[in-house]
Amino acid sequence: MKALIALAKAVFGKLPICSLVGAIIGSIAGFLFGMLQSQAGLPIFPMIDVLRIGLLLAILGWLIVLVVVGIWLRYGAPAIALQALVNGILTAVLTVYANNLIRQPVWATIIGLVIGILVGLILCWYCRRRG
Amino acid sequence: MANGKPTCGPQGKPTDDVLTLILAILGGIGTLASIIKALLSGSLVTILGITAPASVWLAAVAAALATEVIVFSFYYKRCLENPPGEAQCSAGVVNGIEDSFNSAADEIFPFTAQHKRVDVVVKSMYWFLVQNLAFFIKCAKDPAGSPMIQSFYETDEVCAAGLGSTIGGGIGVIGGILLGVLAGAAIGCATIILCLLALIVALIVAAVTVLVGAFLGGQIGKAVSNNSRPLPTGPGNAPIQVGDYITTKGNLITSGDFDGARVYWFVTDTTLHGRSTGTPEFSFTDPDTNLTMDACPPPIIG
Repeated sequence: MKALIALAKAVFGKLPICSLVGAIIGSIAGFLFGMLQSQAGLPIFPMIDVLRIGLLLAILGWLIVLVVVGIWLRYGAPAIALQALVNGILTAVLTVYANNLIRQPVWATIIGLVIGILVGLILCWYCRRRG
Repeated sequence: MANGKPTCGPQGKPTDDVLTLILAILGGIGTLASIIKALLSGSLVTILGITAPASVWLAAVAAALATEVIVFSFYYKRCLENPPGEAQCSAGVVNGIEDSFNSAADEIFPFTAQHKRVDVVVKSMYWFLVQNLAFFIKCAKDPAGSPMIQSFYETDEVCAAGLGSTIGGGIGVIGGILLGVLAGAAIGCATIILCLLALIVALIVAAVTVLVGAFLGGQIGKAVSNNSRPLPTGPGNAPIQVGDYITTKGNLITSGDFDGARVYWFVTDTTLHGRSTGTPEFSFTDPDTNLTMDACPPPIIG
């Protein structure tokens, strides 16, 4: 556990909270979409399915973040609900879109995690600019 | 020693140790499950007479394991980590007290309960302890924004609940996987959307079952623990209260769980010196004026 904590700190320790939340949503969305892809035999999903699946995974990821970050880590579910929803929709839809293009389910979780970090960084930067 | 009052709030390093750990757990287990899926040849898997799509099995296994590891990581961070720090001493006035298990969330998720915390507005001569190596300065809400040190007292109930939750969750892992797979298999993979729903349901059922086990185990652990370490008492056996002047000695650390603030984890020795006539939120001028003699050794100068 000590090694895992050190690794987590080294890899993610410098990221802002928006990126950590985005990465959680992205990794869940990527994992589930990768499982769906490999189970269905790697089809190329039409754009409308990408949106549907992305939104469904965004809601799931959002609910998980509200429990884990809002309640367990005491940030307060109402305080993070809106920001996490925007983060979740962008991250999940982009994760599904990217994985649908790349079609490498083994990397789907990592791809989602990286997309979540990037979306979070952009959202944090945008919020800071708006003050 | 600090010359001026430290600036309240973040000092430039936004991080949360538990959140980064949870992210590493989710990323690691998710990727591992994806690799296993790639290595599996058939699309259906039968274990213990239950036949379900391989992805449904893996979603349930990943969710149950990730949830259990996260429950354990809370227990580890609360009670087993023992982070290195400095033996330090400071004094001031108690601005607030946060008890363990003081919310419905702590009762439902007992592994997340925190140790008893006493927030102390410290005398200005101890500001260097608040500031040095800190990534966040916690302050009282008085007009001056007086710096505080959060002081944690090791609470047996919290550790017993954490251990109980880890054991209960561990028992729930097998049940969670089987229930999750049964629920997912009942939905099946006839269409893409149904298959996605099957994966989501398997994941949720597995995780919730582990959390139910963690809840039951945590409550049992909490119930059987004897809370042998209440907050220290002063003359007349009254426990520490808001407004008391106290000296605290203990292990001072920079805590990633508290925004990188300097906290006592844990307080090993407390001395009470009487009570302030003021009310919260306290200013540092109160203990500066009224607590001239505390129980810390005099600072070494030169």
